[in-house]
Amino acid sequence: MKVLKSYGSGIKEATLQPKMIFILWLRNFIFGLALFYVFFRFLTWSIGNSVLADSLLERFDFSVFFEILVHHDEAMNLLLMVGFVLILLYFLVSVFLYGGILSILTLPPEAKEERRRLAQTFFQGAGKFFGRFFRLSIYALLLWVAFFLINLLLNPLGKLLTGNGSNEWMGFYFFWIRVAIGLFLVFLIRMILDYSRIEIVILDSQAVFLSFLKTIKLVFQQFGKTLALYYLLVLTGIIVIIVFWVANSNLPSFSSTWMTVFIPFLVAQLFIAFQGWLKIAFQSAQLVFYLSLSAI
Amino acid sequence: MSKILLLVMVSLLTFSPSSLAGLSEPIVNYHIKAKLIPEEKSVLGEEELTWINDSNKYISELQFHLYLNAFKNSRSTFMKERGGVPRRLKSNRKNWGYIEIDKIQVKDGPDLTSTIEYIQPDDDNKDDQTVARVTLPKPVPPRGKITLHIDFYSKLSRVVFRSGYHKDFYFVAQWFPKIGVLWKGEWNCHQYHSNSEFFANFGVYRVEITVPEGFVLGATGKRIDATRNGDDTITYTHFQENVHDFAWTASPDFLEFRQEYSLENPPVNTEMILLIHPSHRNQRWRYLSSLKNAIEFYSQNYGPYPYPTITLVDPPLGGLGAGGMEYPTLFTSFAFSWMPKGVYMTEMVTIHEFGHGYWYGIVGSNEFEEAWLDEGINSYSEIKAMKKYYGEDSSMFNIHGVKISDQVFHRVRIIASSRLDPILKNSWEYYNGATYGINVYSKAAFMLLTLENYLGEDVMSDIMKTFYERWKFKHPTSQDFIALAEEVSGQDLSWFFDQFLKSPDKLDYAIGRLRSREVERPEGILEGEQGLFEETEREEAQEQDKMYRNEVVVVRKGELIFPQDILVTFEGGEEIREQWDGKERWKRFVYLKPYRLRSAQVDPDNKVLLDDNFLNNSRVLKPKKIPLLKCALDLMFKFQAFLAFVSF
Ligand SMILES: [Zn+2]
Repeated sequence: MKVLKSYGSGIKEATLQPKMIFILWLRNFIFGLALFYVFFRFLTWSIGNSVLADSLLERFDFSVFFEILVHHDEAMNLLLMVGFVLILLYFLVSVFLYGGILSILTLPPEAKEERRRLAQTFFQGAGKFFGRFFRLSIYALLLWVAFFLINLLLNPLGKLLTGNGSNEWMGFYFFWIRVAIGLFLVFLIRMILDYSRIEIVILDSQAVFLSFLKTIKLVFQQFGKTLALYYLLVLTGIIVIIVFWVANSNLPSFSSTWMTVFIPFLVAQLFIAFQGWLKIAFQSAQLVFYLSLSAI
Repeated sequence: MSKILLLVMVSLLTFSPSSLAGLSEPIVNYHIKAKLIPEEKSVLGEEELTWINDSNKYISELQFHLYLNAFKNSRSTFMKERGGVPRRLKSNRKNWGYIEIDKIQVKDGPDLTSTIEYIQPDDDNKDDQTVARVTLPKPVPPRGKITLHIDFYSKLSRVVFRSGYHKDFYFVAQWFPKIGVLWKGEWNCHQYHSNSEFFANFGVYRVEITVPEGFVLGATGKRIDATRNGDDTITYTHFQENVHDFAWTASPDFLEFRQEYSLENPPVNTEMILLIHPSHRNQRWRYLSSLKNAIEFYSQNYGPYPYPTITLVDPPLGGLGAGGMEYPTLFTSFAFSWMPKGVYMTEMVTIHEFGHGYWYGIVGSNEFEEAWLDEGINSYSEIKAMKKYYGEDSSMFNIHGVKISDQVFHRVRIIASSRLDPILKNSWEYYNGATYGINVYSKAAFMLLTLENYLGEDVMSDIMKTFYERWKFKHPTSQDFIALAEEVSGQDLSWFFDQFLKSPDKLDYAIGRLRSREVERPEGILEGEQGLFEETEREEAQEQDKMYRNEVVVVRKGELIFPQDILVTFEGGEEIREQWDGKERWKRFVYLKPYRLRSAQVDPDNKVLLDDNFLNNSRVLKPKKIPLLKCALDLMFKFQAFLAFVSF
């Protein structure tokens, strides 16, 4: 019951935060735009003058793609580098924004002043917790090391199960089992970090490592429930992805080429905005759940 | 002896008479008795070889391939060229392979065993034992014959490359002492190299193979006898004429499927034999349908498949090293049980390896020295067959709208290559395995596709059919192919082959410059009436007959030369086609028109497939931004979605 209630209030809270959704969307959009700019310039330079450029309007044509890949491999490498740097920066910005999101979500109902100055509260919180959350990300490396160790341990198991690779079907299933295990572990680590951040914000704790350890314990003590809540939210995400996918592949064809480009773009941005909404729902639902635990 | 004769006659009746008849006495005639010894992973063999000296010289030395010695130790030329010993051989002495000649004797004559001597005709690696010679006490005269009796022992290696064993799966190839080819009076008997295949005379093979009962056997040729020996072994006899090698495979696990194949035009009757590892039972349909396509394609485009059998072998996962290899009337492909339907790897390999039954098997070129004649011609055939049966742009991959063709795969290899070698070169002298593959497979195939586009499909089809018909069961060289292509097409093609066969250089034409300028009224001191306008008159005149000087410059960026078509389009919709011999480094075309140029393209019909860069083949005056915008926005969204996911 606690899980469902937390889920419900998480969804509700996220829906009530259009400004925060906007901030999250904007963060994503800006990074996307940066890559777009670089890639657009690259395309203009590499293929813009060629009649082959027309083929880009149709389905993705591998013969043209390979041609670009081979003849402009250095530029492509540069592009990859840009992507990589953007991902790193995005990570830092995200760590920063977490503090803001949680500061808003943990505002008590009577904090009217803070609610009035929402943006200020948001960025103050973000600044306040950035250092701690950054440290948390470093401690989280421990979990990622464990993740890779578990993966390594799966290797001999795989060899055993597939008879050293001679049983193809087993190999095939085992590959997907590994993917599933991998995803499960990734989600688990993210969940632990979510609760750690909640704990740090609620207790205004400076002892980041301690909070980190405490939340690992908490997550495992309440394993069924924390997991149920997390996967309820994951499921919500999956449903929306499917809806988006169906909508996207059923877009009507437009007479103007501008519309052909612009409408899918709008739909895509809607999808990204939804991801922001989901992000807030995750934080908020888990926060409610965390509070309900400490209330006991 | 009389029994043999009878069996030979019986089996002759089963051949399609027109295609195999009319050949003179074969140079080699092998009669081999082989016994598989599973405990030792080896084959014990007795070989009776009759060889005819078809030169006009007295021959006092015979040379033999002892291919399996390539797997004897890390010092063989094969291992050295590979740059290291495969892990599968390293761990245990028993993993290696070798061949020993216990005795070699002239039939009813002297023992030659003591004269065996390893030689290295290609390199000075004294440790390589893949070629041996024996000295005859009495030379074989021109058109003379000699019959030898050879006892040999072939220890198989674990499968790393082409032959060997994996658990109970045996692939027995390059396994017996095989005489070299006396080519223009000299021995042509190369060592076993990492980057090369084989060469041998056509002949008759009669092979009796003894395996434990319960083993399923597949081998070159038609099975003419099976005898239980009473000691839990069974002896299968296979016979085939007009082949230049013999390979076999055995495993208790094979599932055997036999099916007749017949075609009306041209008439083909053969038996398809599929030997499939049980884990790949679900891929049977894939093998069967692609084999049928292959027989049909090659029969219709080159000549009817002439042999009574074709055996397709599917190796188990641990024996994949034997996969994708051709032998007369038998070849290996590969598959995975989980392979999705739209991935055509198995189909491609099946069609390719079957195709070698023609380009290698029947048209027996020298793979050591001119590998493009089998690999290149066969890759050309493969690309065309894949296109026909699996779609123009989807012949390699077709899943959820993502399509990649076989041809595109080959092209990527070519344009990404470092151009260190030409197509025509001794196989073992290539810079490495990659440049060997790129040149003899992909580039040679593209050379022929380009030639086809240049001469026209009908002419090319005539060339290929004539080449097959004239050179079947013979040993053509590159020069023979060129001469035939010139004869059939009625054109001098030396300029073509000299460049593309013999040069590693690049072919690349591009639109170098595109300009459209308004023609200005003449100014300055002019003779005659021009220039004497009043200001107002002048403006009016300009409005009426605005002219543009449209300029297209085509450049040759590569060293190689090929005539080019050029298509120029104008804003009014007018199109002009130009031709250029492509010899100079550049050529300018100028058009005075009342409208501007829109675009220019070299090779607008995309016929010159060897052109290195398709991106620079065209140029537009005003680039269209929308396609680029769409593509960039697509990527942007994918990146955004990725970021959103990683920051859950
Ligand atoms: Zn091949």
